[in-house]
Parts: sequence; structure tokens; C-alpha cells
Amino acid sequence: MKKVMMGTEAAALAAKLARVQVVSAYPITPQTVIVEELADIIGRGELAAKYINVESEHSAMASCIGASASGARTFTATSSQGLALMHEVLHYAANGRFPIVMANANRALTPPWNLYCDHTDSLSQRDTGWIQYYCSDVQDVLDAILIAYRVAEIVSLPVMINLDAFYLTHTSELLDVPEQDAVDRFLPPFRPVFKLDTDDPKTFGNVCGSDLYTSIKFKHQQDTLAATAVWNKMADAFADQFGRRHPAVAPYRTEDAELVIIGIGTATGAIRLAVDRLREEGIAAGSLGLSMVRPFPYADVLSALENTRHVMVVDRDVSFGAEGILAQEVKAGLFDRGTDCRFHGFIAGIGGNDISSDGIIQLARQALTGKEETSKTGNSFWTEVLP
Amino acid sequence: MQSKKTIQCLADLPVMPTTLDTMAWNKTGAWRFLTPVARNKIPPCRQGCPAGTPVPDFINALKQNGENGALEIILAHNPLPGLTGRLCYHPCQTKCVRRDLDEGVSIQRIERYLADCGDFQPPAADPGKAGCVTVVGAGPLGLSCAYFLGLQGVTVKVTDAGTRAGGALLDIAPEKLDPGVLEKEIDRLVAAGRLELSLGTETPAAALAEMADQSDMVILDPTAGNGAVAAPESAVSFNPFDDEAPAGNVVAPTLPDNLIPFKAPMIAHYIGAGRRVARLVAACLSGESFASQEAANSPDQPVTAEQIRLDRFRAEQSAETSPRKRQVEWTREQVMAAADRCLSCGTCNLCEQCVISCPDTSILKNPAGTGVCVDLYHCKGCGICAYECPRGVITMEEINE
Repeated sequence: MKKVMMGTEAAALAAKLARVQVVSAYPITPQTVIVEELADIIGRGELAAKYINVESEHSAMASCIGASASGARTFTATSSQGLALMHEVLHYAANGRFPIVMANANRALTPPWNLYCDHTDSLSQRDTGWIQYYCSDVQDVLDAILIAYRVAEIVSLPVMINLDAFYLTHTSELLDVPEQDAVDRFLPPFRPVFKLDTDDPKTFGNVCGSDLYTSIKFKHQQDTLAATAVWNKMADAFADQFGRRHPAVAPYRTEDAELVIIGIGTATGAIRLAVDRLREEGIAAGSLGLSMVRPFPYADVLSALENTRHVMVVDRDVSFGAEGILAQEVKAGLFDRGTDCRFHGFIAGIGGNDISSDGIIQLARQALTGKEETSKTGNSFWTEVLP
Repeated sequence: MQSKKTIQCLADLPVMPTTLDTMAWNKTGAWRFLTPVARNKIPPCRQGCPAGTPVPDFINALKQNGENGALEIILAHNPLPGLTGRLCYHPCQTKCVRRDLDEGVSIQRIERYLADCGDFQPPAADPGKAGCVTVVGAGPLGLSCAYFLGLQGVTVKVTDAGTRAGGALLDIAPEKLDPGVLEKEIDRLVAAGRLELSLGTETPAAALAEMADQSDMVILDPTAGNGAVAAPESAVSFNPFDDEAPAGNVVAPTLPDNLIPFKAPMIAHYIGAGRRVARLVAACLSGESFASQEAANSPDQPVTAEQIRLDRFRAEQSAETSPRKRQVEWTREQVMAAADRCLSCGTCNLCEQCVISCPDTSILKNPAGTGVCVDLYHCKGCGICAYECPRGVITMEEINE
């Protein structure tokens, strides 16, 4: 069935199609539509789920953890400051291995107040142990949430599905909406190995001495690293059934590329367009859309960058005192390969500035010619900065 | 304690950081210093009732078991609910806690409905084993006393000079009380108490001594109305509210000044006094202590209006208010709507708020399904159950175990 929908509506519909059993959330712009939609869906009796009203995002995640522990498929959504407020319990959800799925609308952190697109909110939570997926369009939002539940419940880890504020949350697209019975075939009911059960009381998140702690963390790390392959496998299964591919990494014309431009979220669309235009000018460009940032898909990234001489990363975020967060991640991967390529880090589009194909082409030219037309601080070039 | 599984290699680790086996062996009850005690308490409406009727109990029984279940509870305290349901000045309703929320529960209307439509008969006690008593006078106190003695297995004979039983009740004007209702109520009382009723029998004072020889005790009803037998000098004056046991075998119960002469709105007081005389006399005949009998039968502590958490209940406009409500017979729907408004003060109605709120699943429905009990091996004494109980049933107490 075809439907025109905004990203927020698509996220709510995906949660409904996934037959989530508990939704606990606190409203925040620009995510609010997601939980409003879900409240309506549950209120109309179209989804047999419990909607828990809470007084904060911290409580939202805490009750999601409790619900998930009791064996319920659980969903929440947040953005920016709300995600930051969840920080403590984000660790708890991942360390406790609760397969919660959360939609996060990527919005700038305050002050100054800014409601627009920025990835620092979720990328600054990269070490909490969550699987992080960044959507490139509205269809991606709907499909990725369905794949996310499948993966989360296999690897027993929480998944954060990120969608760019306004570019996705409030932009309508024509979607393929899968039928419920098709989704049911793809996504079986949640059957946890361990759950809170009053008839068989176990302690969850109990005290553990130094002897076992390291082993538990080692296993957690093993399982998290393995999640990329699980995602790709489930994304293939999804593609077989629905005809749409959502792999962890989306390389574009990288086979013979001298310049590979890396980005996440909606900017990947503008980057692909820029690649086509650069190719028309005779520049061997390619792009790499990183859908998955955690676990970091080292192997997929390195194989896409195998022959390139110039690696360019567009960060819609910043790690103050260092550089763009993606730039650090990609550099860390390249170091292991011992490559001799040139690296170009750009900070662009933060606080809602548009990332256009024109802008990307300019940055690519700068990378290739070495003419520094943008402001530089540290290792990064910043666009849209006052002279 | 169970033997522990030991983890030898990574593969032994569970996916989630949980214990591998049950933790039920961990008796966290040892951490507790305050203990939740789930105990029904005397609700304000019952405190106000001269007959001691446990109002929330019969309303809960009506909801769970229907009319006869409710009537069974009423008849254990009051043999004339059709009369109290019409005549009583209903001090129960004056004390109803719901008045602080919106409007009191129309307890009297519920009772009247149950009296009129229920056909429950109390089961027969073993007759004769507990002695034999003659009640002289078939007024409300005498009938009530005879009924409760009968329920306890005493063989009771009731004599009255009149041709109809009722004593002072017969003086109530027919427009205030339908004589048919009076007759029906007395018939039920006589049948349920297995009373031998001897009407039209004059009892000269001189005959009392002879009657006393033929039975274990003779009780003179002060509410016998026109046919009342004046107490002879040999009779023992007995105040059922102050005296502990009658000393003698011809007993003349006395009443406080406000109950003399008979006043129809005070009907529950006469029933309550008769019940008290019966219990004191039965205790005297059986040699058991009255106090122990009472303690075994009902809660001993009152619940206060402050212990009822009105903020947990929603105020509503009741549908009961009707300008001619005294005249109109209530339908079952009206009665059930009124019953649903009862807050069940001090009386567990298995709302299970405590059960679902306990973080340690240590509050459980009791096996009989009549209330809740506490798993003291695991209850840590956090007090959430007592806080959650909206009707003052659960209290946290210091108990030295």
C-alpha cells in the first residue's frame, strides 16, 4: 500500500506494525508527533499496547527497561535534550541487554536553543552500548524500525533509530507501507530467554565481583561487534521479502573512486547527487553512507575505502576539543589499515544548516585542490562560519 | 539454600546479567523492621450502627455473591433489615466517609432492597445443646434477643399477651410502616431463630418463678408495648451495655432513658440491645467468656476517616438523588450503582492495589480469596502496600518476631 507520510508518522506506524506492547515516552520537539500518533493508535484500540505517561525521559527509558525485562516488546522516542537526560539509563539498557527500540530525532543541543538537525545528541551517546542506525529517508525510518526489532531481539541489545530533525521528522514522502501479515512473517513475537517472572524469581542487574565483570563486558563487546553481521543478514531477509535494502553501510560508486565522501543521515542523498555531478566533471568520486555507526562497521568501511586516495568526512556534529566524531571513527579504522590516503574533515550542517549537493561539490573541490576556502580550527574545516 | 551453579567459561555466562537460578532462597524478609499487617478494621458506618452491621462486608458480598450473600451477613447482625431499612435514622450514612468526597452512600436503601428481595435463611444451629430460655414479650428487643439466642443453639420460647407478635412495633402507624412488611419480617425472624411463639398468653408476674424453673432463664422484654409484663421485685435488673453477666434467672433488661418509651427511628438500638442481651446470656449459659466470643467474630480496631485516601477516588454526581426517593422503590440497577459507590472503608475488597504495587511480589491474595496476606520471608517492609491501600486495611507495624 502506498501512503504519503512524515518520518514521525512512519516511525509510529512502524512501531504499530511491530506490534509493540509497551510505549513509554515524554514529548519533545520534533519527536512529539511519534508518541502522539502512537497514543492515538493505542487509544483507538488499534494496537494492544500499554502507553505509560511519565514525567521525564529518564523515567521513560527506566520504564521501558522494566517493561522489556518483563518480556514486552518496548518502544520509545526522544530527541536532543531528552536523549541527554536519558544518559544514565541508556547505559543500563545496553548493559542489561534489553532489546528496546528507540527513535531519536536528531536535534541540536542547547544553549543556544535550536530545534534543528544536528547529530551531536546521538553521537555523544555512542559509548552507551546502543546499536545506532541513521536513516537517510522516510522509507528507511519505517523499514529500519522493523529490522531493528528483529536484530535487537536476536543480539539482545537496544537499538537507536536516528532520524534527522525536520528533514525526516516533518517531511512527507511517498512510502511503501507493508501489510501487517507480511510484517508478522518477518518479525516473530518477542520470546525472551530471561524475563522477570514472579514464579521463578531471578535477580536482574545484580552485584558482580571483579572476577566476572570483565568477562561479562568482553562477551557484551563480542556480541555488539557481531551485530553488524546480524543486521546485514536481517536486512537481506527484509530485502528478500519487501524488495528494499537497508544495509549497515551503503557504498556508492566507490570501486574506482579517488575521492570517497562519507556522511550519515539525510546528507547522504545530497552527497550521492554531488558524486554524480563530480563524475560528470571527470572527477572519480564515490560516497559511503554510514547507516550504522555503532557497532562501527570497520570491515565494510575499509573495503569501500580500499583504493581511494582522498577520504572526506562530513560531520553534522562536533566533539569539542577534538574534531568531528565520524572523522575520528573513520580515522581510527584507517589507522589499522595503514593507508597513505589524504584525510579531509568538514563540520557542516550543524544546527539545521542545509547540506546541499552544491555545498558538497565545493567542499570536494577544496579537498582535491587544497585551497582552504572554509574556516579551519584544529583538524576540521567548518562551513557556514562568519568571516 | 540450593547448590550454586558455577560459571567456568564465557559460554556459561547468561546473555543478560542475571542470576542463573531462582533467588527465592534469599530471605530478604530479614531486612525488614516494619511489617505490613493486613487487617480489616471497623468502618465509620459500622461504628455508627447501633446494631453493629458490617456495611462494607454486605455491600461487597452483594457485588460478589448477589442478594442472598449480602442478606446472610446482614441477618448475622440484624434480624429485621426490612424495618431498619425503612424506619432507622441511619447514623451509618451520617458517618459515611464518602460524604467528604461527594455524597454519602444510601446504605439504608440497599439494606431495604436486600431485606425485601433476598430469601436467605440462616442455617439451623444444634438445638437444645446450649440451654433453654423463655422470652416474655415479642417486642423488637425481645424478638432480637430470642433470634440471636436461637442462632446460637438455645431453645427459645417467646410468649406475648397480644394476638400478633411485634409488641411496641404494632403501634407504628400503618402509613409509616406497611403492616404486611412487619409481618413478613417477624415471620422470617421466627423461622430463622426456630422460635416457639406463644401468642395470646397472659403471663402474670407470679407465674415467672414457675417459668424460670422450667427453663434456664426468663427474659422480660421492655419493648413488649401494651402487653409488657412488669418486672417483679424478684427479677434481676440488667443493663446490657454495662453489666457483664445477669445474676439470677429472671432477667429484666433495662434501657437508657432515650430509648424509653419505644421510638420507631431508634429501631436499630433495640435490635442491638437484644443482640447484646442474647450474647451475654448465651455466654452465661455456656460458661464461655463473652469477650473471647466477640473478639473472634469481628475486627477490633476502628478505621478513621483520615486513613481513607479520598484522593484515590473520583468524585461523581450520584444518580440517587430524587425528590421522592423515600417513596420510590429502588431497582436492582439503582442498588448496584449505590453499592459501587461504597469506598469499603477499613474492609479489604480485593482491589489488589497492594498486590500489583509490591516490588517484591510479597503481597498475595490469601488462599481463601477473602483478602491479602504477606510473604514475610521476602517482604522487606518498604511500606508501599500500606501507602497504596486506599482503605486503611494495611498498616505498617513494629512487630518483634
